Amino acid sequence: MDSKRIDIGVGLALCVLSVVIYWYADQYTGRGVNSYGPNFFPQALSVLLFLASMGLMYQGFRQQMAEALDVDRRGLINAGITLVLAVSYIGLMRLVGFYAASVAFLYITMVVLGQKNLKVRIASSVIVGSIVYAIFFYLLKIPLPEGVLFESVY
Amino acid sequence: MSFMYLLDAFQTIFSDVSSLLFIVAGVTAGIVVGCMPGLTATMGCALLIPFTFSLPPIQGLLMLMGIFTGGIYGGSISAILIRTPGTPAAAATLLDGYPLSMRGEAGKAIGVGTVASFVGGTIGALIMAFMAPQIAQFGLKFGPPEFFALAIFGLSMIISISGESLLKGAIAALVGLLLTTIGFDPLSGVPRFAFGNDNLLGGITFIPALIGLFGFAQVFRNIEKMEIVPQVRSKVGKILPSWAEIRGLIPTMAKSGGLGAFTGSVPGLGCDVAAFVAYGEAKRTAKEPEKFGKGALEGIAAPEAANNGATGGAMIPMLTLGVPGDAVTAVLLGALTIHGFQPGPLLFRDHLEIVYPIFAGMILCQVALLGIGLSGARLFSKLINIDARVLTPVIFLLCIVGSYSMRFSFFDVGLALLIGVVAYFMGQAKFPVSPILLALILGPMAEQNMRRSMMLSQDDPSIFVTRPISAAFLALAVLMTVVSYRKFKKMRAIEADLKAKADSEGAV
Amino acid sequence: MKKLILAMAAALTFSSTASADFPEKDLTLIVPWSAGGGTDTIARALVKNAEQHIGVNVNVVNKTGGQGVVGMGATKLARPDGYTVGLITFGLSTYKLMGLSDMTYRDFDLLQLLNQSSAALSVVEGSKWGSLEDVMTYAKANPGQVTLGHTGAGAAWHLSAAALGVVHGVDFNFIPFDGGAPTRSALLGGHVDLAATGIDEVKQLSEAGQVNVLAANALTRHPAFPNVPTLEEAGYKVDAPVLDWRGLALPKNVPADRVAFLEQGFKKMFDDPEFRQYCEDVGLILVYEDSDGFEDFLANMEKVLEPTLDAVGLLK
Repeated sequence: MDSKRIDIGVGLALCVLSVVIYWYADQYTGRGVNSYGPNFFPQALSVLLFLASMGLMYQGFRQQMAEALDVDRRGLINAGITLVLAVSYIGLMRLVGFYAASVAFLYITMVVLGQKNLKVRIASSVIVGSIVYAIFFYLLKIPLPEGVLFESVY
Repeated sequence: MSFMYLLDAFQTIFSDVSSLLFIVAGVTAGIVVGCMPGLTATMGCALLIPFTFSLPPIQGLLMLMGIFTGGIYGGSISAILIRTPGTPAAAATLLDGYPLSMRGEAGKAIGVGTVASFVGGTIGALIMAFMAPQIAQFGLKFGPPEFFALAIFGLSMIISISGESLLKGAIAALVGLLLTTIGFDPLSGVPRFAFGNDNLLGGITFIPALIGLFGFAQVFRNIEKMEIVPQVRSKVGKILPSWAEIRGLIPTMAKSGGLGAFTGSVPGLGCDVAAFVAYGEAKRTAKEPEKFGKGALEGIAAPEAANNGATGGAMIPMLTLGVPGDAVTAVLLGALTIHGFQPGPLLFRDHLEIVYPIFAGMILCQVALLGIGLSGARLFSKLINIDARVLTPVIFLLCIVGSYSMRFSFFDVGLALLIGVVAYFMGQAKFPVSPILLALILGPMAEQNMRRSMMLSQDDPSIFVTRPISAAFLALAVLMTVVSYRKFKKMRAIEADLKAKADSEGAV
Repeated sequence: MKKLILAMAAALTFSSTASADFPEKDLTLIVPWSAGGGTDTIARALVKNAEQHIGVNVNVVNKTGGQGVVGMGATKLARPDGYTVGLITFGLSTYKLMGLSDMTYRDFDLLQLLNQSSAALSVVEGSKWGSLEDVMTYAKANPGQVTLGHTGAGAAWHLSAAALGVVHGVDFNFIPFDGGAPTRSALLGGHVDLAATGIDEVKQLSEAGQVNVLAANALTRHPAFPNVPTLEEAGYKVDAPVLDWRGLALPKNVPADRVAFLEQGFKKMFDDPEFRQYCEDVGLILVYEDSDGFEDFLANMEKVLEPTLDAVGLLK
């Protein structure tokens, strides 16, 4: 991937998107409102977006030197893994409650990121988990998920 | 006359040490809440209202104002250190704060931010104390056409925050504006782009968007670059900015503070807009605009002075008219009401015993902020020395919890993550994300007031130019765009020149 | 998987009904509007002395968005253990009719009604109109020329004003704002001729002599506004007034003993002299109805709203 292809690709995708938005927003006509109804703003914006993305495509085609994208492949994979971890963390939170899920999330993410020291991993995940839990639950009284497995506690 | 009342109020506060303690406690709590992504000053105040029930009204209010001041300031700390604004108001601060922090000068960035917050906040508080009724009357002159013009003026700042490509900045802003059309339209009662989803009916809320655009995107970037980019370490030794550096910034701070106080005093515009406007203005008038975005001290001083100046400004319509200037003052209004003081025109007639301590307290909050901020800067700047393999997961966790606790919604966490992924790839494709944020703030204001104005004028667009304030702001927007565009072109030319030079030298 | 979790949750809920000690921990009150707003302030004032009355605190939690749909939806889906109580507001009467959501009051176990507010029509002090009759006469002669600001399409105040226009054949130029505060400042700044808001929302401005309340859309006069006529007294009767309301509700299937406890507990907080004083100060009229009375009121409200929404083009 280089900057030229990205610009052209993004421009094209946004062109299509703006057409879809324009078409979809056409249904938003409220009765009892004047000629600038709820459809006006989305449609006006999608016209502008269409023009701007055409411009982007034009710029892309004219680009002489295409700069290569600097992405570290292994790092990107790691980022992907942590994203998956985050989503499973949300699921886990509902099941085992906020505290346990958070400690587990911190620990596993540190493993994925290559934190070698076991003591650091355990200590920092437990301490940070506890502090965050204490601040949010006890101090700020934010209702954090308790997890269905431990529901009988109340 | 009002000066004597103010002195009296200072005396009242100083006569009771516990009042001072509540100010310090409030500012400290505010800084903590503010620098956590997702926990805003608004939330901090809302969460502490029940606690203030048990306090005498003045103490309770002092504490809440402390949280307000500290929260708006605290947002800048995380913006500077981890490129994640703790509150929306700090979103402009990261543009220059983070690059400075990447050079190991986080302490200096935080120091400048602290002093600027103090100067701006004090200016705002003084304007509030001496000019509240006049400013409130002027604020009433803002009807729908004026708000529309103001929103357009705010959007013209996009040029200043677009980075390398104006076209990409414009596209980002358009996408942001389109995002604001999702959800219930209060003007027509029609739900738009909600696809039957209750959560979307409420629209794209601000906090998850903020955390996604900056917090999550930065976390992904850190993880991706972790193996190849060495970790930055804060410089040791002299951490805080020197007096000479501060002195050079005083004009910027004073101007931005005043600008912020005025912006904040218009109901509907808050600290966030104030910060962007001040940043754009500072860049427009700067001698070396090409340094902006790369760690210019003015780029930190301007938004920080403005957003804290706006705290005082936002209190004005709340106290005098009972119309909150922004979300935080809406909460303060609620707190005042619960304590038995209904803000509004009668407050100044019947309850001067609470009005002047509020003014005095606001000034004292700034002093407390200066002390706490400067003594904390050293400590804060060391935070980035923590091993990235530990710090990154912690930031990740805080972002998740932060987006959840805004309204206890897993939908918001998912939304923030999605926005984070998109924002990460936008960064790769060299699209700036700040315009999206500015569009999210100003979009509803622009759309609703444009349509409202057309309803008032019965489809006659001349309403925008025949009203003096509206015409003035539209003219300012045009001026801002033209001047900033010229500067932008000039900057690009200088940069291209430098690059060509470097290339030819490299060839030799 | 989901079913399994639900089944487990249900089983655990049953097992805990056996223990008589309710409540063992703080309750949560979900408020579907943002912190600091009118509804939020009332909720916080209501539960201020909760500990004296029910032995535990009640934490107010703001779950905002989608005209209240998100917060009320959260109450509806909350665990039916009695620890989550929801504040429900006027919007619930309109969601289904306006096509915003399928949720109605039938999705809840109603606890009690808290208050009813009536709409007020106000002009700024020094306006050329001194009475409702002046306005209506002028508006009739100049259709579409009188601008009337209200707090948002489908809100109680919009519908009240719309009903007045429809019944008496007057064509107002409606200007929707987003909430009470901007509507008030637009009126004060002279950007609209008339404003339709809740009568309590203009109490202080009227006492300060900045606005002049012309009429209230209610059956009886408001005690804090003894000189403001009802629409009928002013000579412009509408059939049944659209009233804004707030109440308390539980998700369905909360154990009966807990419902009974909460009913009594919240009634005590409702009767707390401090809460009463607060409501009097801000001009809020408290109206108590138990769950049956509340249900009748809401059923009736839907009948009133349907033709009104249709008249302003909001009926889906």
